[in-house]
Amino acid sequence: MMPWYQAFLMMIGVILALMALRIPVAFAFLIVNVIGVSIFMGGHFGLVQLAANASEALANYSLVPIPLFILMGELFFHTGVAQRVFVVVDQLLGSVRGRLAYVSIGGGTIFSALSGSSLGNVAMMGSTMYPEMHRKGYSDTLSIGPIIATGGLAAIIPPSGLAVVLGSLAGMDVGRLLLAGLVPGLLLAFSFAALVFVISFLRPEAAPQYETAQISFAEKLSLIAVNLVPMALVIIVVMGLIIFGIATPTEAAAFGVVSVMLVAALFRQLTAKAIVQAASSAMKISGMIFMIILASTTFSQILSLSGATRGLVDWVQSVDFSLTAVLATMALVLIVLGAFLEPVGIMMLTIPVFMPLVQSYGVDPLWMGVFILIFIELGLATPPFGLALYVMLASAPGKSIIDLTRAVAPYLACSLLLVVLITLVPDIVLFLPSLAAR
Amino acid sequence: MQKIILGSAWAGFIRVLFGCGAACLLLIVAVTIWDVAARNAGFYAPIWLSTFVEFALPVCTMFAAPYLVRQRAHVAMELIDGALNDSAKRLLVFLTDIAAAGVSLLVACYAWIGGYDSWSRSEVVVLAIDVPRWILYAVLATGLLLCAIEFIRHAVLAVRALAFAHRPDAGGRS
Repeated sequence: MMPWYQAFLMMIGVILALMALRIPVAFAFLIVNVIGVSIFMGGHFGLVQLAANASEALANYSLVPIPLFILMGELFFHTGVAQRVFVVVDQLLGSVRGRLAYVSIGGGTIFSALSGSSLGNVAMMGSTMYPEMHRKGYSDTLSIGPIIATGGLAAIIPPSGLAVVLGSLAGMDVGRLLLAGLVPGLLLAFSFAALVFVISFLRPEAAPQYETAQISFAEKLSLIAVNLVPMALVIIVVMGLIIFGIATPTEAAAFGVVSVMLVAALFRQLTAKAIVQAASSAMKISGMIFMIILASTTFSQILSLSGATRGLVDWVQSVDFSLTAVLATMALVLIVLGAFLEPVGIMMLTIPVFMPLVQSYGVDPLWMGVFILIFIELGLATPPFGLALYVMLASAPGKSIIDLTRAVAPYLACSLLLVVLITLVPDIVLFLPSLAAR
Repeated sequence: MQKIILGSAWAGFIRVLFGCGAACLLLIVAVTIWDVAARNAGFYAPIWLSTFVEFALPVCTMFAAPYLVRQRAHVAMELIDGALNDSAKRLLVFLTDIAAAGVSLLVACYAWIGGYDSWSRSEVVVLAIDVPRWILYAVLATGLLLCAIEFIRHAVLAVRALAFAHRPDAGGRS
């Protein structure tokens, strides 16, 4: 029998090597699983088990919200309803210094809640907000920074597709995990806005002031009632159904899709073309995610059967590491993986190891879930392969990854501060789920 | 000519499968709404609805997977691409495509074995209604087989490009 550390290093090392060789993540998992079952589960029997696991991996009701939340976001995007959020927030803010940066944060936060898609968020804001901010002379820190940073909020603020993936994989109550992300996500959005305020105050040239059309209070109220209230209703429908235990996350997500269609129809923006485009995009994204889930189901079993998971937990406990040291190490691992891997791949690699480890320290799995989501949000904006950086790069010709990284760095510091805050005050994460109907 | 027709038909087939997957997503929404609305309004909702939703996920994923392979849309890290010249990159593409095709075929083969075994033992998945388990195996085996064919197609194209690049009249270097 192979020692646990050899098994652990072999499994992790082989999969990272395969991914580095540009084998698609899902198929890299399949290869390492074939190797793993051959060694640890006995060739033929292990392969039969691998096929059985893969065939049953997706026939799971708790995974259904994933494509539905993605479809919801795609409908918002393809019907053009999402653009309204930004137009309204823009008009409501008037002539505040750094107005467009606040619009990115405010509109982006609302769109995060509506869409649940980080990259969709960055792509939309990058193509709509950035050219205008660039033309008005905003610095990179106040134009590119808020767009990339706010895009990542979709991973944390409910209804987040990634939270559903994480909840399903870790065997958590998905509804409670979605709720757990709400307060940290909003805190993060406020901290981004505060950062914009400080930067605009200290460096007024970073956000040049200019004349904007003033609108009356009554007009502002009308804008909110006509444009924002229907969209707020979508979020309320989705989250309300989950919070009050009226519907499961799957059912709430389906109602979310229908609500978005109704809102789009209300604005006369619902077309057959938009529905087809949204369904096609949602299928592409869901297909990628589900293939990774399908291919990696046996991975955690192999880690467990080889003794790697138990060995690691026992080792960490025997060395008597403090919880802070363990969390710091996990944070470092997540940051490093985030720089190279996409979110679902990171989850599939880390959850089988991290969850048993932190549970042995008595950490609440919901708290750990939000911790992982925050680092996934960070990973999307971490060079050299943070996906959000590349999506933004498409909207910012002439900029390099280094420029984008510099621009987003202060916002990433806010995320790290949030991690410190939730570590010191775990109730920031756990209070809301504790109120939800079980 | 025959090759072109066959190629177009195959490409069309893969695209249609993907379209069916996307339509399946919309169907999941409709069926879920039907189920919840009927239950809460006190109307009759067929008991197969929730089972349909659960089975629809693997089906639409496997419908979409070959198209994603064709479009190179599966998530992959392009970590070492920049450090390689064109020939080395094509060789790497060929090798990785062959590896992915190989593992897809192997798992598809075991899924077929598992499915046959399940069928001969009349196994069922016990949900709201009993569904033969071999259906799940068949979906996986078929999807992975189609993915393998797409990977092999990419590998063949990479070899062709590699061979063309090494022809003196193509200006390639050997």
